[in-house]
Amino acid sequence: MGAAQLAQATVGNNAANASTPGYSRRRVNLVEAPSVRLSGGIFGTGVQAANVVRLRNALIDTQRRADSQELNYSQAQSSILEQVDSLLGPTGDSGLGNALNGLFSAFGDLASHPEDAATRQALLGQGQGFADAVRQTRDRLVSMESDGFASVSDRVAEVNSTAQRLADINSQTLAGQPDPSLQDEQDRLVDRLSELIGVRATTRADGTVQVVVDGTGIQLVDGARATALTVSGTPTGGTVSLSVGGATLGNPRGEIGGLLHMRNSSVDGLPAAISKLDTLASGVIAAVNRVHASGSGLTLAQSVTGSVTVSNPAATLATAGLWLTPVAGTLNIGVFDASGNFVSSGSVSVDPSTMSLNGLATALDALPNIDASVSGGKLVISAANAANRIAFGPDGSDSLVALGVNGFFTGTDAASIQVSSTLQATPNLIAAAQANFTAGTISPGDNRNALALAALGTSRILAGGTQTPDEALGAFGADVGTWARSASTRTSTQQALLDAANAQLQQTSGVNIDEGLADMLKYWHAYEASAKYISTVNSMIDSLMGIL
Amino acid sequence: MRVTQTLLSDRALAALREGLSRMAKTQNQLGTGRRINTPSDDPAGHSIATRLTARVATLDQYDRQATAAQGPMMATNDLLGSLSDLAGRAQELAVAGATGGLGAGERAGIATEVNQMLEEVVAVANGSEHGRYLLGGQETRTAPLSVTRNVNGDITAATWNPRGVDGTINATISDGVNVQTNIGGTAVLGADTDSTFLPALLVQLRDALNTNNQAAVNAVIDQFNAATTRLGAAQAQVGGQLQAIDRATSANDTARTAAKAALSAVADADVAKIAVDLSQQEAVYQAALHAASQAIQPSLLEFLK
Repeated sequence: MGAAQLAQATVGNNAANASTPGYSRRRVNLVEAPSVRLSGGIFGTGVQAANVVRLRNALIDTQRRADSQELNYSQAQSSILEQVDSLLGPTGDSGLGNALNGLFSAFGDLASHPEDAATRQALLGQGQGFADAVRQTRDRLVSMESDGFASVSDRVAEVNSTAQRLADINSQTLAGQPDPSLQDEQDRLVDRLSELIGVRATTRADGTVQVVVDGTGIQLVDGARATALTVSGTPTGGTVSLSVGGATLGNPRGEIGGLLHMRNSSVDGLPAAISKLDTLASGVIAAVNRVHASGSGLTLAQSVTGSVTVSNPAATLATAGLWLTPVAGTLNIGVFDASGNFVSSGSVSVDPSTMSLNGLATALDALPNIDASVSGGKLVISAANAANRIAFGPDGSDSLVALGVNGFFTGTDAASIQVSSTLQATPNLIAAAQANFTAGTISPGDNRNALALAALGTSRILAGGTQTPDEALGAFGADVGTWARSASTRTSTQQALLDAANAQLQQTSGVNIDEGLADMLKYWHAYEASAKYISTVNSMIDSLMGIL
Repeated sequence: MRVTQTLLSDRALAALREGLSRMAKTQNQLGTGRRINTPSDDPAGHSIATRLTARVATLDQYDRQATAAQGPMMATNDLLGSLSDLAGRAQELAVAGATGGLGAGERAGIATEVNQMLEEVVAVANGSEHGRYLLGGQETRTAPLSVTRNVNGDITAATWNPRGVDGTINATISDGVNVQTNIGGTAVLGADTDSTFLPALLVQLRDALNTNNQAAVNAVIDQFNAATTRLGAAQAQVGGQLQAIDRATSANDTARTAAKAALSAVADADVAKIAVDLSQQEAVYQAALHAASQAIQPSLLEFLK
């Protein structure tokens, strides 16, 4: 009767836990009690409960954990890529695309109305709109990087506490009897570790679970000891890495692995998206500034200061670490008086392999009517006579672009792009015209430079002269879209695999309430039969006693 | 296969999850009217759409430049018409002034008329549109002709702006097509050193008439032919430029229609098809819901009461 009661209790526990996650169905193994040999032969002494076992298949567990770590890996990637994807938004309305088209259209408008102040103001607005769109997109990507870092840190803390809990259970197991509920708890913790970082678990004969990070020999839990994971790196930029007791963890799987991949990968992670955006932005800055730098505004400035700081002005231009390396070529520069009459012009031949910023300043300073110097690492070019003005001609050396002199944009990448504050203060300095040093003229109606700026919109100025700006933007979108799409495809595939593995697990370890109820009836009948036997024996004894 | 309640509900949930996410996607397409809402919906299509959108923007920009150029060119065309009329009438006056038998007083009367025309020619040649001088070349802010006057206030000479009046102003009105949208002053009236420079001819004619010098008046008549021919050529040039703009604009219209059609084919949702898809998916989803509610409920418990 005790055995039947125990069996009944187990069935009841199964039914009660039918929907408990990680619960494994249990079964009482009933065996015949040892029989006794009496004079009349061998007599059975009834039934007894041998043990309670969990119905669990270790192979399915391994498979399920492998699927779950891959699912969590793809899911972590997919959720970040979805955000990047939506940043680029629908075609046509996408902030970046519109801003880019708007910029080149505004250059075209400037070509139609080079003398018009309102057109210049509108162009500045479009330029700032483009710069803002680029910077905002980059800011969002960078904040995704730091969010990724924070998530990794949170998840690592969770791995550490889970591993510690598992080690605690291991020590409880070592101390006492094998307990199915502790085993379930072990499985649940290993499951969670798999989701988080991807692990391989082996159960030892003594009932303890040893956990190794999948794909490595690094132990997280061994017996009663858990080793802590540490995160190193900074929220943004650089590489974030994990280590366990000094050993670096290469490419973990699970959610942490997916997050780390997005945070670190320069192939299809956030750093890749940021660097693609930076390349796009610096390509546009270089192309626009290259044309703008050689142009002249409706008015000219007496003194022009570069926006790029050179840390070592004595180093040659080729080795000074400039964002864009100048090439050998000739830089033309002229001087006009305040009423636009030609004063003089000159040229400097720049060889970046031998000329330093200081050298360039000296060479410019030697030109008639021009003063040049280096101030705080920036090139300053002024007309020697305070009443005169500086005008730039063709620059075959790219040094004006590299040093940020007379540019439309300041900044060198997606993080720093801005419309030149000098132009914003004086829109008439926007260079729609090209100075003619031979004829000695700069004309207000001259729109050649504005036309050249507008033509950049349809020229192959990016990706080493192979892509127009819209093609480059399209390629950027296609890249991000492809990453996001393949991550989400992987996620659905892994989800299907995990569903299948879970179904298999359910087949072995799940609780079927009907089955439980049938078992319950079965044990009830056994109990009833035993009870009947007792009452029969009782009445037999009663009868015997009555006779006496 | 051993089936458990959790397995059933897991499967039902998986089916519902998939049905719902498919419906969400279709509904988004229907709501926005776009097939591609983020690059991942169709990476290649998104890239094509980005380029087509830029293409439409470029064509729009070409049209804006063309339209902006049309105003000043029409004005230039009118201006050339007026100059041509003036030159023609001046030539008639010259012929009249060269007629024998005219007295000094009559010639002086004609001279007054010629002087009036000289003033008109200078005023017309310095014509502007929205503050831009039309014949000044790139020097749009300086009056192209400047004159010197004698003590009586009569014009004795006219000279072009020394910074030049022949700078060309172009507009990009189609891929790689730059058309000139102005005409240089010397192409209209000749160089100010030319013997057929219209203002100089008028000064010469007026002075000849004033001095009652029939031979000198006679000598000027033929010069007017060259000036008129030059004006005619200038009118033809501006007319040609206007036509080029019209042609480019209509070619742009065709290209834009094509680009917009292509863009719509790539990026826009086929509303009818998607609406059908949506109702189909909704039906499937409802069936899944129904099946789930049917499958999850029954267990032996219901029958053990």
